[in-house]
Amino acid sequence: MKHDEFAAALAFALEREQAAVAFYADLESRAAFAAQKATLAEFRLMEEGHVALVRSLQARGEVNLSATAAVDLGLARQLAADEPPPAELDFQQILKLAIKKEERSGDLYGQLAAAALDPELREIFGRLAAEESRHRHYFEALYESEVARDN
Amino acid sequence: MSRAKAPYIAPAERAAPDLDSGKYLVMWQGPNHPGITGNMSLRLVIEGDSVVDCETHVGYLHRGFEKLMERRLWMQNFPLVCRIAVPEPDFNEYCYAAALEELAGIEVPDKAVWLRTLSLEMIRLASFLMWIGGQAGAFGHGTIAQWSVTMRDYVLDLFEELTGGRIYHMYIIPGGVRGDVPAGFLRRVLETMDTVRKNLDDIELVMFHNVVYKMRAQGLGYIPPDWVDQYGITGPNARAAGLPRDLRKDLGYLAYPRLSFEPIVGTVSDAFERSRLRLLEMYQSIDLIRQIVDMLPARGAFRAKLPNPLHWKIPAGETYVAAECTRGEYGFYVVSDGGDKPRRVAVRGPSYTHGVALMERLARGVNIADVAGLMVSLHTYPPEIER
Amino acid sequence: MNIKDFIAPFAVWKRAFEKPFTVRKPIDERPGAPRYRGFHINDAKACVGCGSCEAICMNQAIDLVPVAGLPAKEGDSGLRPRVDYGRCCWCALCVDICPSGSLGMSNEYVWVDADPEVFRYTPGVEAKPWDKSELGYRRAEGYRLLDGQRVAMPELDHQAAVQSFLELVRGYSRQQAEREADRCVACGLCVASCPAHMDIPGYIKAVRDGQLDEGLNLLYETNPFPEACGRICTHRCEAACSIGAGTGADGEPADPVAIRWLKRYIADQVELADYGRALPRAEPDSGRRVAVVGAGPGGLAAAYYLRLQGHAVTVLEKDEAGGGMLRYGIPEYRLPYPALDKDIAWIQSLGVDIRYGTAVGVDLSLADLAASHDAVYLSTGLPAPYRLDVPGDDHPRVLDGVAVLAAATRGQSLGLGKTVAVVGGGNVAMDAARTALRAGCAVDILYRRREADMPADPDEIREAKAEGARLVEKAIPLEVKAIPLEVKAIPGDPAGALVAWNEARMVQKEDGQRPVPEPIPGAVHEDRYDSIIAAIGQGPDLAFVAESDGIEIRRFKPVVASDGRTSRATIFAGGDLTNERKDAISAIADGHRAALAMDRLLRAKGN
Ligand SMILES: Cc1cc2nc3c(=O)[nH]c(=O)nc-3n(C[C@H](O)[C@H](O)[C@H](O)COP(=O)(O)OP(=O)(O)OC[C@H]3O[C@@H](n4cnc5c(N)ncnc54)[C@H](O)[C@@H]3O)c2cc1C
Ligand code: SF4
Ligand code: SF4
Repeated sequence: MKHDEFAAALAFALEREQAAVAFYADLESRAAFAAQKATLAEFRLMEEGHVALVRSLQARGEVNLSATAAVDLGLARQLAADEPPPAELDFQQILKLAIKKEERSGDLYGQLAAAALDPELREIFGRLAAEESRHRHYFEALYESEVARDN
Repeated sequence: MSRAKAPYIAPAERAAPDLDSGKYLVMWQGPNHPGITGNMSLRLVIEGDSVVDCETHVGYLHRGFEKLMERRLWMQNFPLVCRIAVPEPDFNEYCYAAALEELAGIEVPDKAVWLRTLSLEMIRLASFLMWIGGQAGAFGHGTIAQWSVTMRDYVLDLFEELTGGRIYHMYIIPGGVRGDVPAGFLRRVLETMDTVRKNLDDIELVMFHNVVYKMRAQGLGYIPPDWVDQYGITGPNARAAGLPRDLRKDLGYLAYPRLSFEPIVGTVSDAFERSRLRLLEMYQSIDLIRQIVDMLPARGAFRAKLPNPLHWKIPAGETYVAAECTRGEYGFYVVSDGGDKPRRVAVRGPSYTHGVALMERLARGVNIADVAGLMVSLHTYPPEIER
Repeated sequence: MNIKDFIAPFAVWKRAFEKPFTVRKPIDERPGAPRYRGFHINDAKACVGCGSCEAICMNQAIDLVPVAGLPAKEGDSGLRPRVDYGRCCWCALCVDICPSGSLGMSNEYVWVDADPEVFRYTPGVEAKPWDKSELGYRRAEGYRLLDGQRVAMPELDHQAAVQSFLELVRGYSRQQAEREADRCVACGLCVASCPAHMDIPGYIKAVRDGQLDEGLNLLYETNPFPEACGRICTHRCEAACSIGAGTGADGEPADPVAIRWLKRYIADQVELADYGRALPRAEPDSGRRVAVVGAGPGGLAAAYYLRLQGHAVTVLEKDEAGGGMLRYGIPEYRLPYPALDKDIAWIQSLGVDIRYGTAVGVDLSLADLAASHDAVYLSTGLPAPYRLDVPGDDHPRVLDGVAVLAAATRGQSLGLGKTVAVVGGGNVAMDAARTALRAGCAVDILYRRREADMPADPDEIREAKAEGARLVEKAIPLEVKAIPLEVKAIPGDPAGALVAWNEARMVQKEDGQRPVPEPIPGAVHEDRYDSIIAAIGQGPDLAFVAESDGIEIRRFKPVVASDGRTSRATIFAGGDLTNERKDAISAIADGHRAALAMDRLLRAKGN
C-alpha cells in the first residue's frame, strides 16, 4: 500500500467524523429544550472522540483497531428512515438518527473495503467498518433498553 | 370422685422414733441409687434391718417444665413435653397434642389415630421391658435386666425407624403424627414382637418360677383394695388389687374401642402379683400391636392442616386429657387464655401418688434389703413426679 | 413352692451359647435409621435466610449469621442458620418449618472432638462429612408446618369479565384475609425488596389480629396509595417472600403470601370517614411553600409527606383528574376509580391543593414556579408514547396504547373496529389488549420475542389469553400499509390497515444478554386489522424544562441523586421520569424519599 493511499483513507475517515460532529452541532443549535440539547451534545462529544481517534491513527501511522464487528441487533434495518424536524426530536428519534448514521458509515466503509484492491487498504476499511458497527451497537442497545422496553 | 373418699392421712399415724435413743440408724437411699429408678431419695429410719419410718425426698429433678411451657409457643412445647417422663415420652406427646386439639377443635385423621395408638403400645412394651429389668435386678437377678433391656432396644430400633429418634420420638405432633410408616416397617414390627415374645417366655420361666424371687416378692408391699381410692392409685398397682380400671377401656380414646382386649386384674396385690400382672400386660401389648398392624389403614392423611405454628392461637378454655400409661393414669391439664402460648399446663404423673405417699406408707416394717424391690414394684419414674 | 421353682432359673444358662446382641464398635458400624435426626445439613444455595428455623427453635439453638461470599439479595437475606449443638434437642421442628425446604438432617450421630467450640457450625457453609448424606430426617411427603397454598382469591370468571369493566378481583373476606395472613412468617425479606420498604410483616400481623386501624397506619407510613397499590402493585415483595421459596405439601411450588391482596383488604375495610381515627394529621404550618408538578402517584406521595410536615403544597396537573397513569393508563377493571379516588381524597383532606388543568410549560413556566416556591418536585412521568418506528407508522389506524386507555377512562368511544393488533409485550400492551376485548374486538398481541421474555406481569399475560387474546410470539413488525383501493371499496368496510410482520427466531448473540429476535428470511406475513395499537414504550416529555432552569439532563432524564435532588438545589424529581423500575410503588417511594430530603432542605433554609 502506498503511503498516500493510507493517508487518503484516514483523511476520508476524519472528514466523515468531523461531518458527524457538525451534524449534531447543527441540530443542537436548533434544539427547542434542554433535554434535546443535552442528548445531542452527548452524542456530539462522542463523535468528537472519534475525530480524536482518527487523528491518533494518523499520527501513529497504523490502524490498530479491533477487526471484530459488534453483534447486529437488527434495529438499524427495521427502523423507518424518515427524519423529523429538529424541534420535535424526542429521545427515540435522536437515537434513531444516531443508529442510522452509524449504519450508513459502516456500510460505506464496507463498500470501500470491498472495492479496495490493496489488501492492506481493505484491511483498514474493514477495521473502520467494524469500529462503526461498535458505535451502532452502542446506540442499538440503548434503544432496546430505553425506548423499546415493552417491545 | 369426692374428696371425702381420699381422707387426709394424719402424720400422727407415723411412728415418731426417738433418734437420740441410739436404737435407730438414719439412712438415705438415693438420690443416686439403682433401686430408686431416678433422682429421688428415701430417708429411712432403720431399726436392726427393718424400716421404721420412710420419708420421700424429691427436688433433685425439678426442671420447671410446666412453667417453661407458659413461655413457649404451643408448637414449641411439642419437643419439650416428651422429656417429662424419659423412658415413656410418648404419653406426654399424646396428652399434650390431644388437649390442644380438643381446645382448638381439630379433627385428627384416622390414620394418625392408628399410628398414635401403635406408638403408645410400642412404648408401653418398651417401658415395661425396662421396668422388669429393674424389678429383677432389685432382687439380684441382673441377667434378666440384660435380656429385657436388649428387647427394649429392639423396640427402640423400631421407634428410630418410624420417628427418627430412639428415646425422644417427637412423633405425635398436634394435628396428627409426623410421618407415615416406612416401607416394610410393619413386617419388622411383627418380627420384633415375635422376638420379644420368645424372650418374655424365658423371663417368665426364670423369674416367676424362681424360689428366690417368690420368697422375696410375695407378700411384699401389700396394697389393700380400699387404699386405691384413698391414695389415688391407678394402673397395674390398682388392677393388681382387683380393680378392673384401665383408661384404655374406661375412656375409650384413640383406636382402643376398636381393639379387642380386657383389662388384666389380679387378686393378691403384693409386689409379686403386680410384677406378674405387668408381664401379662406385656403379652397383651404384643397382641394389641399385632391387631393394630392388621387394622392400620394403608392410605390417608396422617396430619390435619394446622395454622402457622409461629402465631397459632388457641381459643380460651381448659381441658384435662388422660391416657393409660404403664404406671396408670397420665394426664395433661391445659389452660388457654386465647393466646399463642399456654396459660398453664399441669401434668399428672402416676408416679407422684405411687412413689411419694404410698411408698412412705408401704415401706414401714419392710426389710432394708427389700426397699428397692418394693419401690420398683410400684413402678415409679421420678422425672414425672417433679416435671 | 415346688421343685420347678428351684430348677427353672438355671434355664439362663442356655443363653451362654447365643450370639451377643451388642454392636462391637468400632469394628461394627451402626448407621442411624434412614429417618434419623442427626446433624443438620443445609442446601446453602436454596436457603433464603428467612430465619423461620431460628424462630421456631425453642432452644434458641439457631442463629442466623452472615456468610462470606453470600451477599444479601432480593429474596435472600444472605444469612444462614448456625446450629449450636450445646442447645439443639434434635427435634427437627426447624426442618419441618423451613419454607425453602433447604434444611434437613443427616443420619450421622457420632462426632467426637476435644474442642467444644466446633459443635457450633453453619451447615452447608462449613463442610462436614455428612453434607452429602442422602439418609436422615427430611419432612415426610404431604407433611408441612407451613401452608404452601394461598387462599384463593374470588375473581370474576373470564367469560363474564370481558363483558364489562367490572373489577375482576373481588377481594378477600375477613376470614380469608386472616387465613392468608396466618401464612406469613414475618421474615421481612419482602421489606427489603419493596421499593418503599413498607412494613409488610407489621401490617400482615395487623390483619391477623384484626387491628385494621393499626394496619392502615402502618400502610400510610410509607405509602399513601394503599387502595391503588393493593390492586395494581407489581408486588416484587411476593417474589421475595420466603413462603414461596419451596414446595407445598402437594409437591407443587408454594405460593408466596398474597401481600398485595392483604394490603388491599386493610384499605378496603376502613371507610374513608374513619381514616382520621387511624392516621396522623398534618403538623402545624411551617410557612414553606412547595410546588409539585404532576398529580400521579409519585407527585401525590411527595405532596402527602410534605404536607404532613406542615408545608403548604400545591400540585399542578395538566389533566382533569389526579392519579396520573393509575387513572389514565390502568383500566378500571384492575383499578376502579372509586378506589383511586379514596386514596387521593385522603391526601387532599390534609390540605394538599391540586390545581387540575394546569400544564407546566404551557400555563406557567417552571421558572415561575421555582421563583414562587421554596422547592419544586417534578413527577411528570412518561406521557410521550414511542412510535412503532416502522415505515407507515403514521397511518391513521395506528393508535397509541396509552391514548386508547386514556380515552377509555374518559368514557370516549374507542372506535377500534372489530379486529385489533396490539404490538408490544408489556403491561400497557396487556391493558390495551384487554380493553379492546371489552370493546368487543378480536385481539392479536404481536410480540417480537417469546412469551417468557415479555416484561408484562405473568398474571396479566395469563388473564389476557384467558379472556381471548391471541398471542403471536416472535413477530417483528416490518411495515404498516394502507389497504389497496380495490379491497377497500367494499361498502361499509371500516378503514383498516395491513400489518406486515416477519417471523423471527431467537438467537443468543451475546453472552449474558437476552436473546435477539432475528427475522427468518422470507417468512413475512401480512394481516389486516381495523386498528393497530402500538404499546412499545413511553418516554418523558421534558419540553417544559428550559436550559436556563439549570437542571442537568442526561438522555431525557433529569440527573438526580438518590434522594431525588437535581443539579439545582431546590428542584427535585422522581417517579417514572427518573427511575428505572417505572411502576407505581417506585414512584411513591421516590416521592417519599424526596419529601424527606425536601423537608430537611426547607427546615435548614433558616427561619
Ligand atoms: C397502561 C399502564 C399500566 C400500568 N400498570 C401498572 C401496574 O399494574 N402496576 C404498577 O405499579 N404500575 C403500572 N403502571 C405504571 C404506573 O402507572 C406508573 O409507574 C406511575 O403512575 C408513575 O407515577 P408518576 O407519578 O411517576 O407518573 P404518572 O403517573 O405518569 O403521573 C404524571 C402526572 O404528571 C402529569 N403531567 C405530566 N406533564 C405535566 C406538565 N407539564 N404539567 C402538569 N402536569 C403534568 C400527568 O398528567 C400525570 O398526571 C402502568 C402504566 C401504564 C401506562
Ligand atoms: S430457608 Fe430454611 S434453613 Fe434457611 S433460614 Fe429459612 S428456615 Fe432456616
Ligand atoms: S432440631 Fe430442634 S432444637 Fe435443634 S436446631 Fe432444630 S429446632 Fe432447634
